[in-house]
Amino acid sequence: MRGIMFTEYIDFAAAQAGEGVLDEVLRELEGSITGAYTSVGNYSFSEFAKIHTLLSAKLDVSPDDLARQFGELLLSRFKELFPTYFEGVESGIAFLEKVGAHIHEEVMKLYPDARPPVIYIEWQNDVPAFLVYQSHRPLAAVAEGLASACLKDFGDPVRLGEKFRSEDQVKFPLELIGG
Amino acid sequence: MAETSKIEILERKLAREQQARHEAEVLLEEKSAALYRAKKKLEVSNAGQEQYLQILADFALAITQINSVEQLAWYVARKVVARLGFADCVVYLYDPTTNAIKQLAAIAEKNPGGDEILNPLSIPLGEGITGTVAATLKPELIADVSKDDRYISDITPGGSEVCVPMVHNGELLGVIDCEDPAVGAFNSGHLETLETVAFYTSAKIAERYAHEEAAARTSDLEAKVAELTRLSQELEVAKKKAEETSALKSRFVATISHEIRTPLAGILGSLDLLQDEILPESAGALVGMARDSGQTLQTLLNDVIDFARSEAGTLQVEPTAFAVNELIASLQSFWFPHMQAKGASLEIDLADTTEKAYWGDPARIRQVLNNFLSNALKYAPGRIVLRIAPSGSKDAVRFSVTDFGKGLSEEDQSQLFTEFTRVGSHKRQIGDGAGLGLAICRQMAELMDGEAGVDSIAGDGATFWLQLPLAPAKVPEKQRSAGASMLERFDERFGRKPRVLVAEDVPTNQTLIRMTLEGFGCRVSIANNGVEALDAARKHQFDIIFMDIAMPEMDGTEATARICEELGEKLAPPIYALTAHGMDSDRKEFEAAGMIGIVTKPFDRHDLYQAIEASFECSEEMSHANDQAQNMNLANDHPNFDRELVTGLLQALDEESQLMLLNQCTLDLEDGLKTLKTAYSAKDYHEMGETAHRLKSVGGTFGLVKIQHLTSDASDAARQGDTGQCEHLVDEILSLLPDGIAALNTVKSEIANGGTV
Repeated sequence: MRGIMFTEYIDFAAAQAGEGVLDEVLRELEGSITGAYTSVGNYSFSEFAKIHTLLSAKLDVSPDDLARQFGELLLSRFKELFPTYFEGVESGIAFLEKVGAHIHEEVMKLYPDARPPVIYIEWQNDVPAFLVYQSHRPLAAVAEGLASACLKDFGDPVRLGEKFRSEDQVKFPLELIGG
Repeated sequence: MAETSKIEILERKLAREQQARHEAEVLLEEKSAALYRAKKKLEVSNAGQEQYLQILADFALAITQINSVEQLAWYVARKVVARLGFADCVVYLYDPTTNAIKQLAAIAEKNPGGDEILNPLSIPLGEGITGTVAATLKPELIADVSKDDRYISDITPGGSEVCVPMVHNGELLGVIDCEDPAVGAFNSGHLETLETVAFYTSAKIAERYAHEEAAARTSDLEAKVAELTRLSQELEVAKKKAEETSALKSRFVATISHEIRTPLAGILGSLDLLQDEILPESAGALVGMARDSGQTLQTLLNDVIDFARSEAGTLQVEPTAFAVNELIASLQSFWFPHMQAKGASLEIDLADTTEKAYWGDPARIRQVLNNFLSNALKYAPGRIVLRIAPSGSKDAVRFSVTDFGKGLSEEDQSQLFTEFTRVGSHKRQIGDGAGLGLAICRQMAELMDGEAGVDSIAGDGATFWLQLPLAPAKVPEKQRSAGASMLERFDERFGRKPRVLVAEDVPTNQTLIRMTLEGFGCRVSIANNGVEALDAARKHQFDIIFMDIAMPEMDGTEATARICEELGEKLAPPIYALTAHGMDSDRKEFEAAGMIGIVTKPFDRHDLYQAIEASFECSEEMSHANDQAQNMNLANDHPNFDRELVTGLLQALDEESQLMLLNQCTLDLEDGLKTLKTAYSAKDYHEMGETAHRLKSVGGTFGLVKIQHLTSDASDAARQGDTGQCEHLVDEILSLLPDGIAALNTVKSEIANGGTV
């Protein structure tokens, strides 16, 4: 898992829970995690899972809710870090159509053997019907947070519906707002 | 505590960030190193690719310089496969005749040195790995040959092998095979590389094969062209040689024949003289036979000479303006007695559209028509029609002789005009036996840019024709009507034959003049040149000599001068120039040599007749005067009419012809009388002389002896300008001629009343 996810998450955690709680989490997990992360590094997902689970517990928030919040934050971070992703993009759907490819490129750039998640829009009769998340990591909630914030941010007339699993994918129906 | 705790938290955070930084630097180092390695690797790969492309580029360039498949195979093995990093390579070429692939070039162990292959194998299609590739046209990549039961061990022991076929347009050309002692030495890259090489090589081999085939075809064509050229040259040489030989042969024949002619003329002359001697009857008959045979031989010889000359290209055509009537008259008068003798008749069918005169060679035309007429008379003595009519275009004239005999088969017709051909053994004999007559006719026709041929239906007669391009011409001055062409034979008229020497070198002219003169009842001797003429004049006495001017050995002028000089004025016979030139300058020259007159060629039979008549009268004056006295005694009602002469003249003719002849005669005489009267009144001495001259021959022929003499003298007087004498003589003619006409009218009415002459 890309180091940038860790550095972003650590910053997110410090903002949510404060430096003290973060310090506690990292100290408690000392020995089983690296603890110090660089955005250009590559770390095991289990480290991420351990930090996230412990932080959820300390904050008394469900891990999915926390992941959604992290996803929402990621969108604003993307705007800061990769402004080119947004150039000429006029809708949330349009951005989501491309975000999978951007992530892919970013991940593969330094770690060719990595298996980044696949995120795309599934269309039905020329209408965006589902947001599909496909990964060996259970981070659909991060994707959900990112996508919801994106649709809201661009003012798309759709929102994500209740997710459901379909084989190895997680699908979010795209519902018309007020429909 | 909280302060301390806060500071501790921040210190730990700093430591973590420092560690992260360090970790990032290590990572960066690692990534840089990896990047460097990747770059290096890429460079090597690029260089390899570059070298690979360079080798192929070199190969593509070298291909243009390579001229043989073998050279190509060695280049591929050494400069391509070896340079591409293969340690071992054998190039095989497919041989369709043995259906096997043969090792053509190699590197490594298979190539001990030079362009040599150690143990060069020939592998049948389907055998071993290379044979399989050749048979299937599919490449093979074998990691471990020891596990492939198709593997045939050559020199290199087992290991791995890669083998690709060389194919062009689906046809096998060969294979390229590489081995390596290590197992698994080759990958798909190697296979791909070899396939590329094989593709290039195949294209070049195919190009070479096509080139070789084209070259073989070209050289084959060149050989054929050379052979044809050689043959054509040989043919040309052979043709030239044949032509030269033929011309040589013709000249030889002409020369020999000419040589034979001279002694033959001597023999004939001697026989003529012998005939004048008094001989026992049997001897006389033998001399006659010998003479006839001799003359036949002479005719034959003349034919041969004409033919040979025509073959050798020395036969000449001498065109002149000639009158059609004149031509017909000469043919008619010549053939009339012959026709009569054989009970045949000659009809003249002259088309109205025929011009009066044409520009052509009448002697040659006459020669051809004589041949036709002679044939007709010989094989179909009966009704014979001579037709003359313009044909097709205005400038072509068709002369034809039609008989109504048995005709000719198509096969015979096709052979008739070829030389030395006689149709059947007993049927038509052409010419006088040489089988040349019609061949000469055709050659004469061709010489005159015309054609000769025969149309016939077997059993229904034959038409021999001569078609010539003849341009119309002005009627030549000396034209006489056909009706006036009957001339009396001298032997009958004077009781003996005038002895005539003809010096003439052209065979055709010899024949024509001899036939004509013999028709006049002359005894003719022929001299082929001036020398022979001189010799003959020395040995024999002649009444007249006709001397051609242009002759070989000695020309006519010189011969005349020598004869006159040697024999003297008294003994030398009168000599007439026989020439185509009638110019005044010539005339003076001839007279200076001793000639007394000119007969222009193509000769007019009347001129010949008159020349002989004048000469003969001189030498016969005395005896003739005696005859005349006798005749006058015999004459009863008409003292100046020689009835017997007319009787003799008419004897040979049938009643119709006799009447026709007499009618014409009396018409001519009456016409003459009338003209003479007018001229006499007008004192036109020229006209008197001319008319007298005309009356002379008619009168002489029809027994008006006195008139003949008077007119002859009057003509001479007029010519000499003796007007008084002329007037006197004409006065006498005018008084005597009506009686002469009356006498002839008597004869005519006697015949008409059924009496005989």
